[in-house]
Amino acid sequence: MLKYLTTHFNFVVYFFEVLAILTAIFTFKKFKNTKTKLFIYYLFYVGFVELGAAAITYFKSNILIEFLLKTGIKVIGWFNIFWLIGSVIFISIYYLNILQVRLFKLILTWLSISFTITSISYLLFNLSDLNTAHPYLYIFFGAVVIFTSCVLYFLELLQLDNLIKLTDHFPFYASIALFLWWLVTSPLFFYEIYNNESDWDFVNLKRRVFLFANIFMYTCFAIGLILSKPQPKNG
Amino acid sequence: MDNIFLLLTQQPVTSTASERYLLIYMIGVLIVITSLVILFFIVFQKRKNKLLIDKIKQQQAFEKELSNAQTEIQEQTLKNIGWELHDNVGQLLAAASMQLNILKTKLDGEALDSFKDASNTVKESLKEVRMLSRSLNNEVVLNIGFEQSITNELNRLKKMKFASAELNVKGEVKPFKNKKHEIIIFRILQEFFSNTVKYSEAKNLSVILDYQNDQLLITAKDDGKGFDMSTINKGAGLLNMQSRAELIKMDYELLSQPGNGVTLKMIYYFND
Repeated sequence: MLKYLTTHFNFVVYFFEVLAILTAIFTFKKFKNTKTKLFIYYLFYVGFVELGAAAITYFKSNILIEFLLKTGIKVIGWFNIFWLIGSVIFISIYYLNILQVRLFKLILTWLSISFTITSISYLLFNLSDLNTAHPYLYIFFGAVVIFTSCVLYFLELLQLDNLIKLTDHFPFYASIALFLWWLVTSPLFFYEIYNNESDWDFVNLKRRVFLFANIFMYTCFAIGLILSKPQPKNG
Repeated sequence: MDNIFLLLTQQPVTSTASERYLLIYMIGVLIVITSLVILFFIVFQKRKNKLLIDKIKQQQAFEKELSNAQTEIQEQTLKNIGWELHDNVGQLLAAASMQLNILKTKLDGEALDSFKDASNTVKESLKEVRMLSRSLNNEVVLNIGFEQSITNELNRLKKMKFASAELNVKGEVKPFKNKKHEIIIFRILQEFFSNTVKYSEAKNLSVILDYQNDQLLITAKDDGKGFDMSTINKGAGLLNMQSRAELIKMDYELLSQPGNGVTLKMIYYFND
């Protein structure tokens, strides 16, 4: 079972992603007038990123993909731009919208602006490296942005005198999932040198970690979307 | 030797089992710590919610107490005015009436007729003052009963300016468990009547008490000029009526349109 899951880890992850996106579509109406709408857009964005990556990997003969490939982009580059940079920016925008304390908003604004500027300028100055590796800068700065977003959200929960039932509050589910995903997957990049065909033990371990982190994250999103209730202020 | 060394470095590096276990262990530790933190948050938030709910409940209890006290003070004031009317103004009028009666025997002819009119007016005034003092005193209201108090009040008003002022009781009359509620409903109706007298220019006034299984439907209606619900400035009277109704958890609805009179609908629940 574990071996099967590991070899087909991509498709298992796709399944859970589709599950989360479908849940998002079905619950969109419920959250139409809340900030959670932004997160649902983020899930659609994730779908787009994964679809792009899958297309580059599996459907090279398609005209549109051929055009995309002609620009010189590969899966690594695609993920660098849209996942490591794009999704971090997207998530920080979501948190900027749900945070209420002014100081926290200010901190996150500056952090996300500096992340955006740093990562885009790094990308432009090192265009040749785009398709070869995931630079540590994106990974760790991105992780810092995500952690800060989640921590600020949790701090706000502690500070504000709002009557919140956490199980009804979507940002809580989202924060747990995002925080844990980034916490668990970030250290793997230290071991990136082992990620080659002569070290299948590590490759499989990495895949399993990503597999379970993804399963946890997307299930958490889906459960959160189903269980939570639209909140007037920041849900 | 050099060649062998080159060969070794060119070979891709592989991880050792201990490194992988360390990684797994680290991830495990991270997960455990995060779970603990999340658990802490859930417990903390629950505790905070409980404290907040307690605080809100206290606030509500305080406000209820406050409005209870207000009502009691109001009742006491009305009672005092009632006593004053009865004992002071009433006694003076009674004395005046007695003196007029004594005087009457000394008069004859035309003067007697107009004197009788004056004497009757004084008697009427005395009666009015007594009725008013009764309606102001909640003990009297309790004593003579809810329906009778409303009837008295309507009779008093009818004499003042209405063509008809009627009480209609439907269903089987049930006693109120809490006598205070009787007074509160009576005061709301009194406020409604006084508004009708002051502003409505109505000719007819009616009150319907519809006793049903576990609720009492109270409808008070006038056929005056009415007012526009959206533009009316809610004065102390209207707000008082509503807050009193809320105090005893009644459903309260005041409806009006210009030219169509005013209707007050309330539902009192016997079980609450």
